[in-house]
Amino acid sequence: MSATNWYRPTVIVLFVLFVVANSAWLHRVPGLMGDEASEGENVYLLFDAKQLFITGERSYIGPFIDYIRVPFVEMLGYTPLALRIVMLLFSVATFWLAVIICRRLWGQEVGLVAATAMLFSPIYLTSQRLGWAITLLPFFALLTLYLLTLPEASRLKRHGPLLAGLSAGLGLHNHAIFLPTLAGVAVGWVSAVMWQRHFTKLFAAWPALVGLLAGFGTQLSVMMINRGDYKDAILATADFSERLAALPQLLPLLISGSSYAAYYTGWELSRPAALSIAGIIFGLVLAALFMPRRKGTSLVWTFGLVILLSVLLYMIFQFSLRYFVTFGLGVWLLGGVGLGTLLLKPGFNGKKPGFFAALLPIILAFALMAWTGSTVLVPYLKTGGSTGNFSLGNRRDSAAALIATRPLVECLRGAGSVWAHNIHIQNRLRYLSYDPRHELEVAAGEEQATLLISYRLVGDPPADAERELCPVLKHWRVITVGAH
Amino acid sequence: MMMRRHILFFIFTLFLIANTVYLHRVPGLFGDEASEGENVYQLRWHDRITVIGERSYIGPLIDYVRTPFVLALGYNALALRLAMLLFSLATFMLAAVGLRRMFGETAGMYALVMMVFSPTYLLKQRLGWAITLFPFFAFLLLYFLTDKRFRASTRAVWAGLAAGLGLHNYIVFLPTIVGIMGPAVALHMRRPRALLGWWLMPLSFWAAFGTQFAVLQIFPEDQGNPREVIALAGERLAQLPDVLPKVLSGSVYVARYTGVQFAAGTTWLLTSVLGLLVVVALLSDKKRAAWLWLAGLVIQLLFLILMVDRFTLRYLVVFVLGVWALAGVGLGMLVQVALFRRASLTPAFAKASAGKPDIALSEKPGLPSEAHRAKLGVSPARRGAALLPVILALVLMAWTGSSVLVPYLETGGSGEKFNLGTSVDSAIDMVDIRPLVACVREAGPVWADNPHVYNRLLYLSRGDKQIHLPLDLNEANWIVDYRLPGQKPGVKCPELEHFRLVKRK
Repeated sequence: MSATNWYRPTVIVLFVLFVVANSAWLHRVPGLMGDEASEGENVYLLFDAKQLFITGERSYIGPFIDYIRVPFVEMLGYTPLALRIVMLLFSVATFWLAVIICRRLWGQEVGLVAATAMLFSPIYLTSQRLGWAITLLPFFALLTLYLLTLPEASRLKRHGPLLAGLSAGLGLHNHAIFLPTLAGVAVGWVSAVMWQRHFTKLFAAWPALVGLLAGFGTQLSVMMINRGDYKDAILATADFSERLAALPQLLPLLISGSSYAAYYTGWELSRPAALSIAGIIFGLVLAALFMPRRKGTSLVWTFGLVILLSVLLYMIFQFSLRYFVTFGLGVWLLGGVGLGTLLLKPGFNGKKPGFFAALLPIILAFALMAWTGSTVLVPYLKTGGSTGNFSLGNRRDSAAALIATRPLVECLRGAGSVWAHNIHIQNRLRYLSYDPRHELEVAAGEEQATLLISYRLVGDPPADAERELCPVLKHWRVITVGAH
Repeated sequence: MMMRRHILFFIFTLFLIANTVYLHRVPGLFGDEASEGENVYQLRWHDRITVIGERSYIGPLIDYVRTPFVLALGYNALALRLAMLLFSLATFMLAAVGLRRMFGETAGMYALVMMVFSPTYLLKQRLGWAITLFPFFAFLLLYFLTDKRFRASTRAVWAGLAAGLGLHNYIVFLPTIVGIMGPAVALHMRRPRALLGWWLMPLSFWAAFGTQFAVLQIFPEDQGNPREVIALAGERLAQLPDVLPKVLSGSVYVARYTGVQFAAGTTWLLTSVLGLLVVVALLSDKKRAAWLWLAGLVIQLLFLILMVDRFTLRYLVVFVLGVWALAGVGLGMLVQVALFRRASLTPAFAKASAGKPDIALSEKPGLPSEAHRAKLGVSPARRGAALLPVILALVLMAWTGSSVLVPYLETGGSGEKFNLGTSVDSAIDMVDIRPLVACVREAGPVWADNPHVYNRLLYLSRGDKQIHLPLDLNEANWIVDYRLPGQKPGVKCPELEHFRLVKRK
């Protein structure tokens, strides 16, 4: 295979692998999350609304994605798959955006390795299949970058800033936590432009503000009017230094993907393993920064990631995996640049990259898929997840959010009216109840319920066959009222 | 060209004078101005940026614009009106360019003068409330739509911003947008691909209007029932023959200040003259632009009738100014014809046209074109004729001055009522409030049940500590209200003509 015609077939192979990896067991791995269900319920409310719905899941989560979900829910019913198919389509778009951007920034060979590293990272494969709004952050980040880096010959070049602003605005509309990512992208772009001394480009980018307002204006109004659901986050900005201090604890867990895997399985990597993996990624990042090829681009990318992380730490009130996805993906991408730079140096094997350049991304993709498959998918399919806790630096989070829900739904089918104190469980039940095929009835209140649902936590007493409807359930307790 | 610039400069100077004279007190601060001015006070004392303006359908942008003026000049009428004056000056410039582009130098000049010196403009465009900005945004939109220096996509971005900001400012700007964009789109229907160049306009429009759209959706309570309003559109349409002459002649705009409308004969005469001038415009060599303009006005009016629940003077301003501008086009064409005919009788004309084909035979039927006259070397802007727009401006200023300003300065306004269709309006809102303010300063705590009176007092009290408006009615000594014609004077300050202060019971 020559250097010139290896690229397209390789990309197609990678695309196929990508679709396989992101669609495998999409309907049930992981189980329906409470937050997914809560957002999915917005579709139900949309059908009921008497006017245009401009308030989304929260004041800081816009309704854009709710409208997009509507046809999928109509086709597939109130199921996890309906919510996740939407994200899969955006993920497919993300694939192409990533490949194009990486090619523009680092060239064909290294760029493809970089894109592969990001798109097949455990962070991507575990978090980007979830059907909630925050999944779209990488898509909007890459779309904005795509529009900012259009080639001169592009017909859209003249309107690039305006459209980039629109993309950024829609990203903010979708979820306000896009702001750190946007800050990273914007500062990175400005740095690149200033580095190249293309100062007129900066002034010519003013239409980006117009686009930003077009995408974000309505949601900005909603946020200004309904401040109640993020006032805690504003207060939490005072604890920025504490979060900064806890970052070294968190970073290896994030970058190694350990916490993302544990979110599914409840099992973390050992600390040495997490540190080793994170160390390898870090080493590859350094290679990207110090090797001569496109070093400037890598430096700007790193600078953007630093800005992203700084703004993120300021904005969030606690560490949560979903907030760090774009940062983690950005690091993995840079690690891919380092890997590609190291292995595809001209003359490394005495030949031009060519066939090896085609093979490396595919090998990398397979290796990463196998890794995530063996550490996450296989255990999950065996155990249905876990209600255990895992570390997030200065706090612990629960894997109960992602446990399998199908056994619970089977247990509750036609069994009576249900209730749960835990809001995440309640949200799942309500969402699933809108689909008549589930034969699920959610009580108006605890007093009207015949069955109470809760998690079966690690360390809880063993199942009680007399009190529980389905004592075989590993992660759920279904208590018959009266026996409670 | 130099002559035109000088003329324009003279006219601009007259315009500035006409729009600044007695700006601080003619008319007196009225209730809606004060209510909007109060927003500045709220902005200053809240610790956050707001997206909510005077109403859900009136955006906060103008409140932010007003803030530095109020900070500099205090809580008074002048602070609010000075902001509008700047927009008015910008409107003049935009209209001068836009009308010239559409109707040519001469007709455009007359259109400008007729419009900006019409009684409607001089009387309504000095008021310090958000709706005053409609002509500004309308001409801003037209400016970008007609600016051929830039590509369509670039113009589209600016035009969208103009339209969106206009709508953000006040939702009743929508008929004006439709009135402008309707003909603009129709003009391009023969070349649909040209329309594609405007694909960015909705984007920039939404950038400007999106925030206000959200506010409209979240707070629908003050928007009334659109279905009911639309259902009664037929009734409003039926009132047009009664309403149009009164508004077009400026009669009701004058009555808003003085309480006295023109005599019926005068109203009809003025309306007929305007109508004739419009017809001239429609037959002139500017007829294409004139017909487009007229189509836009008709569309704007019809949409307005659908949207609003009753005829009020403020809603009809854009329509009236548009008619006056079109009449100005007709007047300009008449002047050109008159000059050409006279010039054609002179030896100079005979010499210039010697050997050239007879114009009357070589042109299409209708009025002779400016281009042809220029070819013959007969300049349409002879020194004396060039001053005609200035004379027109002076005449119109004198007319409004004598029919409104002088009586107002003598009487301080009026409490008389006047009809507009089925609604009754009053001049009481525009009366001079200085005597009231002098009285209230010495009266101690006062209250007003009438919201228009209350709003004025509240706004003024923000800057004048001698005006004491308590938080509770029961703390007030006096109740302030209008003194309508025929009503007895108040107990305190019985000399007040238009207000009365009575003891709180």
